[in-house]
Amino acid sequence: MKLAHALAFVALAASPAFAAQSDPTLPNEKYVLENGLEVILHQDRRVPLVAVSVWYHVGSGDETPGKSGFAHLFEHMMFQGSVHTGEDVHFELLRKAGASTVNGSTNPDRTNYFEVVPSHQLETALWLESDRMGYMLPLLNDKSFANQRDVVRNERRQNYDNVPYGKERFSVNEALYPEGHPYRYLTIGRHEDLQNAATSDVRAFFSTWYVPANATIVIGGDFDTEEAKKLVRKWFGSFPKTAKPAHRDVPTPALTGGPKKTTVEDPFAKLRRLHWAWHSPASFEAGDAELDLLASTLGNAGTGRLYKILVHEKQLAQSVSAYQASSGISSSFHVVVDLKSDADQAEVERILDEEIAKVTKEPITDRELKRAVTQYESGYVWGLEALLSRVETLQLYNHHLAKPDAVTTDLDRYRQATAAGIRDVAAAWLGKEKRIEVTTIPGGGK
Amino acid sequence: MKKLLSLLLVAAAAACAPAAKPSGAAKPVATATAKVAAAATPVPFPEEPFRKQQPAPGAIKSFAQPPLTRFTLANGIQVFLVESHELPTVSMQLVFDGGSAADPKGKEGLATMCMGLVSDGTEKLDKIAFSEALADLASSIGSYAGVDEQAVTLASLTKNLDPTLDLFADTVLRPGMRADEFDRTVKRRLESLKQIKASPAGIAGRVGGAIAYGDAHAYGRIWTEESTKAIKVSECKEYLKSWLQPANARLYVVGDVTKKDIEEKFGKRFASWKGKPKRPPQIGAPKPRSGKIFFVDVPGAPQSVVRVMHLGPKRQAEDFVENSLLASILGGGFASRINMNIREAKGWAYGAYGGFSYGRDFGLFSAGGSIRADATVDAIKEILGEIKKIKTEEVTVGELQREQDGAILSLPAQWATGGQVLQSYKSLVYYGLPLDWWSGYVPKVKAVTVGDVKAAAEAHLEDDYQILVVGDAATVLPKLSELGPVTRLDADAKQVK
Repeated sequence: MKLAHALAFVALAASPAFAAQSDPTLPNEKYVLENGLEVILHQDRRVPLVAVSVWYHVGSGDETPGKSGFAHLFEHMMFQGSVHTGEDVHFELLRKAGASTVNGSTNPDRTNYFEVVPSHQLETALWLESDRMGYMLPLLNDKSFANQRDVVRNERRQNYDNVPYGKERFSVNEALYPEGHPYRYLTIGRHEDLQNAATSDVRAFFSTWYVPANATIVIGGDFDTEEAKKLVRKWFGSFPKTAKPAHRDVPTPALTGGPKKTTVEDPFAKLRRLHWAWHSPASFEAGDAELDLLASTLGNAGTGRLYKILVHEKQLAQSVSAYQASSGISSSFHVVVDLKSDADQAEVERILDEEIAKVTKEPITDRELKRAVTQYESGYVWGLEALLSRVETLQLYNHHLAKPDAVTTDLDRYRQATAAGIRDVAAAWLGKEKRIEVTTIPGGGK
Repeated sequence: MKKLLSLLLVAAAAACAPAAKPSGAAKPVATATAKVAAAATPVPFPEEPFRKQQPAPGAIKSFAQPPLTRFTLANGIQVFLVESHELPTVSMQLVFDGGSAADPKGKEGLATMCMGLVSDGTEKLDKIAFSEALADLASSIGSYAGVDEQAVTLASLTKNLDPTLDLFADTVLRPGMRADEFDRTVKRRLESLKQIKASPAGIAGRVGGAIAYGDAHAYGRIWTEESTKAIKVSECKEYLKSWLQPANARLYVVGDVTKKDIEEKFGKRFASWKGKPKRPPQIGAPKPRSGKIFFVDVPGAPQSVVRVMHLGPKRQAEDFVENSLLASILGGGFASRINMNIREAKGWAYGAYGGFSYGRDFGLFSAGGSIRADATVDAIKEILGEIKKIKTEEVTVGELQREQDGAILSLPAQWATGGQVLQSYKSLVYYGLPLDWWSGYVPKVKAVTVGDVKAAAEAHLEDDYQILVVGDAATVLPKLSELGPVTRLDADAKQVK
């Protein structure tokens, strides 16, 4: 396992303040087929594996009112079969081919499909991906659709309805986003919308969004570049050209007159939870990285300001967390605190209010800033070891920045952040009047 | 963002122009490609005969399990090293005998609490100062107790290994074990227990072992509010003296270091460390609780957590490979019978499974899933039906071939990173298997026949099983009672009316 050129560490000259830093790189070749399908090749010949990932640039953020959860339900249907491969044999075929990871996922911005296979099975992965890109609808049937509707509703039960604090996740988004906004009902969606979905919706969604011009395929791992190009051309090259579908305009939500308060009763929850949230800058927009750094400074276990006060010193909280949830249309910034059973809720709220007001007025310390940046930098080193992580990172940067290897560009956002800049971003977005507060209290029916 | 994104796309399209027409550009075809079709109008995709067949695979490339370096340090610590210099990182696990199997009766949870406290600060640094020192280095140090093994762990960038090892040595040799931090641990665990006892998955995890292994068994004992409150910080200090000793300790290392680095950097810091731990706790044979069907009520639960369980073969069994293939076909992956039935045919769950898991000296069969409440009992019947069927009828050659091919061809993925390789060796050490165990694996897998799978099913799938259901009594109990007498339990596995 000698180092190929796949994950080289190069000296970085672009960032004078951290001139000695070196960043991981993700060497790749990107090109576009005539039909608009983007292709990105990332060669790494150390282990005889290839990872194939297809991103369709459509997600739950493209859903229309009454169709919540549909992008994800659709994702399930993409595993149900296509003309040349057969019905519901995707996993079976890939298991026999020696696949180690096979899955898909949906978020507000995109839907992805991926598999890691032994490198001699690259063409089978391309056969499966091309077949569902082109020939999925003829096999669509009511029985299989009704089955996956049930499966997805069970997924919601398992991950949201039958666990503590599942309810408040819906309440937070309902407080942040008005009726009609595609983020309002989470990616998993409402039971009634899922139940009302029909095969006609699948046809319309497929024809609109699942066109080659709206997709990007990344192949990573052990392949011969010319051979891989030939195979991509064979399986995808003859597909028709369409326009790239346009995303609808969603007005950026804003809140005024807050804090807007909601209380949720949760029979599975035994500790009260305070969940505060604000709208914040979209993925990769100015302020997005600053809020990541602020979240670490506030919430990290052991070192975060809120952790130190609420969990450690005063023992009012069982746990705290803070995070910037980045998304394509707009993001949200969150602070979540689980209270000790005997804690005075008003005192915790007063401390939260003070600590958040403080970071909107005073810069964080140099040590806090440096620590947060260091954590992000090292996270990239650890996080890019697995082949599939590298492939998905290429997809992410390509989606948001149209540049597959943007590791340094991305890290520079953090390295160039200043304590004063973080304070200014906090002041612009984390005002009390722009805040929603969802409080979970134990109890109530299911 | 919308505006920004489209601007970026335009810019990128321009920037990518030279690469946009490589040799991979699409071949023009006769149909429909000349014009840009309007979105939402289905566009015809070409009919091409080659699509009807799964492509023939290329030549399989061989890939051997990457090598392990073994050596022993002067103070008796055995080192297992997998060098991996691709990333500038190092991970270590210093593993000791001991664990919750050694918990005194009435003090269940002692090992977990005491070992957790080990990485909550050193004699010099309290928890917060310790956390900050690590965070400034982007390093982490952790500690945990399992049932019969426990460890202190480290992860560091290579460039920060020296200062991280200083903190690591302090953690192992001079842990803080402060009374105030112990007090925080007790309170935190009591609060988390409330939450564990309120969720169906938490309850199933808690009481499942008490049923399958028995209340008194190391894998079945349950920590409670009372047992947590009974533990004292002085007992934790005693515990560490008894168990965190170098004789018979194992150091597992993966990453950007060499044998020489370990001997020097680790050896130097632990040079004067001497001592022997207590004898490892003996874990006896499990004694399942008497009774067949167990139920814990979570009023209003929309799904039931279901487990069908019985004791199973050991990891060291001669027919381990046959048992693995049997489990894969029955309930191991997406394409397995139980999942295809419960999820894909019936739509009763997001997923369902079945298979064997292993303690050091015994095994357990378990099958189940999180099942829609009103389908709970039907799902149990289907799972039992699948178990019965695989015992009485041979599996198909296609099923066996799929799992044989899958098991063999996915080996490179199991060893793709240094961390995975090390974990694989660690598992062999844990079970007392030879370190070259995998070298005999492929021929063993290839040799298995459908008759062997049936023999494994007959030998290891029992008619005498136990069922645990955690769910809503009003929905589930009437039908569940039709299967036989039901023992109702609370979230501490105590029988209730």
